[in-house]
Amino acid sequence: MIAIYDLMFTFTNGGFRLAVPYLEIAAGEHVAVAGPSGTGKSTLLNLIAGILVPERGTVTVDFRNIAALPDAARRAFRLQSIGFVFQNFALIDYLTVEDNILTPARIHPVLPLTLALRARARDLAAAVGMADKLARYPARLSQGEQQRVAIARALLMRPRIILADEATGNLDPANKGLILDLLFTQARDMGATVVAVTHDHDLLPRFDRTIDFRSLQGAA
Amino acid sequence: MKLLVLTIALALPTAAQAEPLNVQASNDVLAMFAQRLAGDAATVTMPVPDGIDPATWQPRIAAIAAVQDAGLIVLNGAGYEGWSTRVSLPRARTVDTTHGMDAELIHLAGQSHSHGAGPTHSHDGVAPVVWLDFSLAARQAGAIAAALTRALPDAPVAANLAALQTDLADLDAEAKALGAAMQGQTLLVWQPGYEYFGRAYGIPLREVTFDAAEPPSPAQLAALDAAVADTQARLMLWDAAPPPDTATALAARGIMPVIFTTAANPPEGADVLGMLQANLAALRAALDPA
Amino acid sequence: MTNALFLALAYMRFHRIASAALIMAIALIAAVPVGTRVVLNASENALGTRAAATPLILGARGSSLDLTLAALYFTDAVTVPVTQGDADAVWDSGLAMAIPLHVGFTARALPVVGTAVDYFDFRGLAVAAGRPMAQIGEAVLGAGAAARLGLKPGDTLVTDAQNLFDLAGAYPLELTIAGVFAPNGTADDRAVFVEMKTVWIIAGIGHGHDAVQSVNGQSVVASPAIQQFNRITPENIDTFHLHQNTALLPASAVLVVPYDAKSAAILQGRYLEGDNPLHLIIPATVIEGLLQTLFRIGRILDAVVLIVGAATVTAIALALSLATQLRAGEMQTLFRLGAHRATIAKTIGAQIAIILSLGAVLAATIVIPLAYLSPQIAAMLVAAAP
Repeated sequence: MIAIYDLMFTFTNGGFRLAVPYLEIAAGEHVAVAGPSGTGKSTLLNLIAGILVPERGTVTVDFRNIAALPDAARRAFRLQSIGFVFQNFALIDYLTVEDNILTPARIHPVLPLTLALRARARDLAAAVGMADKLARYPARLSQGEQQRVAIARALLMRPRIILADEATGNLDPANKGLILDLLFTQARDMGATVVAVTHDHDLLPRFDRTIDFRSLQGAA
Repeated sequence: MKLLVLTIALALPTAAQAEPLNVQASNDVLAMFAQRLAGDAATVTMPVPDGIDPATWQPRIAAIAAVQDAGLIVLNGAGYEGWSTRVSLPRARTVDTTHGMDAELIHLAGQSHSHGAGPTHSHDGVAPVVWLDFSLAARQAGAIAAALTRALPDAPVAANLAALQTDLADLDAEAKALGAAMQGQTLLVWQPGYEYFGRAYGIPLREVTFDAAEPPSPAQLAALDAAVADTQARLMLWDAAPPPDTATALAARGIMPVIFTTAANPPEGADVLGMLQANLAALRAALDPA
Repeated sequence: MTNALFLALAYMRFHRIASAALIMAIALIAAVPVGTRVVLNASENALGTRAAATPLILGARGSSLDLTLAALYFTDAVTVPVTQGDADAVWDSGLAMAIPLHVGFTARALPVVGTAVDYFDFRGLAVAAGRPMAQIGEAVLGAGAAARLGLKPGDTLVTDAQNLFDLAGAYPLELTIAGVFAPNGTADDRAVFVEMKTVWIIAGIGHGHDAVQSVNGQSVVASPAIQQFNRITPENIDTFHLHQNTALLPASAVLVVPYDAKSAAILQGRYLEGDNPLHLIIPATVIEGLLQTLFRIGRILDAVVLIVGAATVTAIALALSLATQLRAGEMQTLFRLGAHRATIAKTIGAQIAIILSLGAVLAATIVIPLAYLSPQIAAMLVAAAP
């Protein structure tokens, strides 16, 4: 379960402030955070992932205050518990599809890259429909294919929370729904919570709940 | 400790028994000099095969290579070794025993002759048989001794030289006595090779060329008669016994052949010094038959 | 660390051209100054060693450097010759061994060196095939000369014509190869050694005849139809003769090897006077002066290499820095995925370490063989004719 209390975050240039009095997301829930661009939705995801630290308030995941953890602990939490899907896919251009999926394992400080993990990467590739393109580099993939790979990467470590930041923003209409359904299917299989930032209203009905970001900040 | 002593004991005889110096001499006289001077410290050999006159020997490549390999090469010089002008010899390991004797060398008019059955040739320029002047032979021995002293600093070369020069001095004294006894008598000689002997001991020489194996020709006999008429000579020096017909012709003219060898190429194992002594004894006997 | 290496190698494999260029640049910036210094040191050693092994050189008074280079490296730099008689005078003094040298002729562009067999004993040249020269018309090749010409004992070699239109002068002579020396890493390896008498025949001072006539069995008159030979054979070898007194015949230089220090001092005193047309030089001193000049040039070269090297290192560092900046997005992704700072640093560090290591290894593959071959390279450089 994700719970945010009295969260305050000010951007370094001082021009923008994010304030979330209260937010609670149940475990396994698929939640969309909707709102106009530039209002801080991605920042909210970064705070949940522990990438950013609020100047005030708590961000608890399963009753553990992530915001209070030191940097190394937050990175470890992120590596083990968070699966992040980015708008621009953020694949590493010099790694193949298979190695991109295995990236979380390669950057893990202690976890060895076992045969089981390699098998899981291949299984995830198959699940996202990329089994026949394991040796390809991202430059030779379509945007939809790249996002599939990004999803597989996000799922490698069996995260409890999947954060998707405009995961379908760069996709054509045909692929948007397919990708989202794929994400939900995999998350449901793992029992993972999904928090997805989107400004695409056509996709909102697919989520369990939609949080209006402006209202979230205004609730008191 | 025992191993150390054993090692030293085994090494010592090896150190004492150094390899003898390989000396190559161009004729037996020089070989005798070198062997007497070096003693056991050298092995002296002649590269000239048996039966070949050293003065006319033309070595093949293999023989030249063997000479080049020698620790010391002893040459007569004075044009004796005609082959030396076209071969490559290491000067540092070569001693020309007549080097520096330019003033004493006898220059010839270039007459053709042969040594025994050898090819006809001429020693253009210089008479080579220097050692029959025993004072010059002593200087040749001295040159060899100087070279051997450099090559064998531990050998008793100086002492050996003194002994050899004593023997050569004895020969010189005997030859001088013979020269005095001849009182200006002319000696006939059958071919060149006795120039230094004649000059050193005041004995006029007259060459009447004969063949060592062939009977005398009428021209040769006529030259003999003319020589006898001019000089009243009654002795003729020969390297070996003259052919029978020649001996008969000499006897008919009252000329006694005297065996007087240059000793440059004697039979195997011959005593070279003894041969030189025998030369003088034979001449002495011929002068004083009684 | 394994994963960091994997990522680094994957990056380099993907950007193989840029990576190879960086590796090559690093290798060259390391290998070029080290390699040139190695060869320069070897050259200095070779020059110094050969000079030190040659006690004295006698030559016509003039440039000591030209005389030294001619005597040690067979360059055709001596314009005024000495004579065989000058060498004989040293022998006759009883103070030293005198080895004449004649340079100036070539055979297929390699120097023909006229000398005595004493030279081979002096330089410690051992025959690897065949034998030393035994008579006129024979030659012994240095190991490098034999390899370059593809010749072995029994083969023949014709000397080069000096002047196409020199009708009365030197003419080519066919030499018979008697032997080949073992390599000794000096200028001797590139030489064609012949007897002094042979080189005088090449110079036209001596020659042979095919037919002579005798008149009345006494004087010898050469037939007008005689042919001057350019080949010495067993049939004509005895006809070869010199037209001058040997003592007057030319040599380029004479190597003088005194028997002891006192003899050396006496000899040097004899040739000290300025009006003596000959001088006796110490090649080690001459070469030392040359090396000092080379050393000064070497220092300038070092400074240039240092400046260029610093510029290149700066450029390489800039390239690596820019490459790292280009990977900012990748690093940000890894950070957001949860990579520790150390992991990100190791990934970048591994790439730099691999590039530097491969550059060093490549530099070593250039420098190590160069160092191993430097004596031979130095010998070729110092022995190359100008």
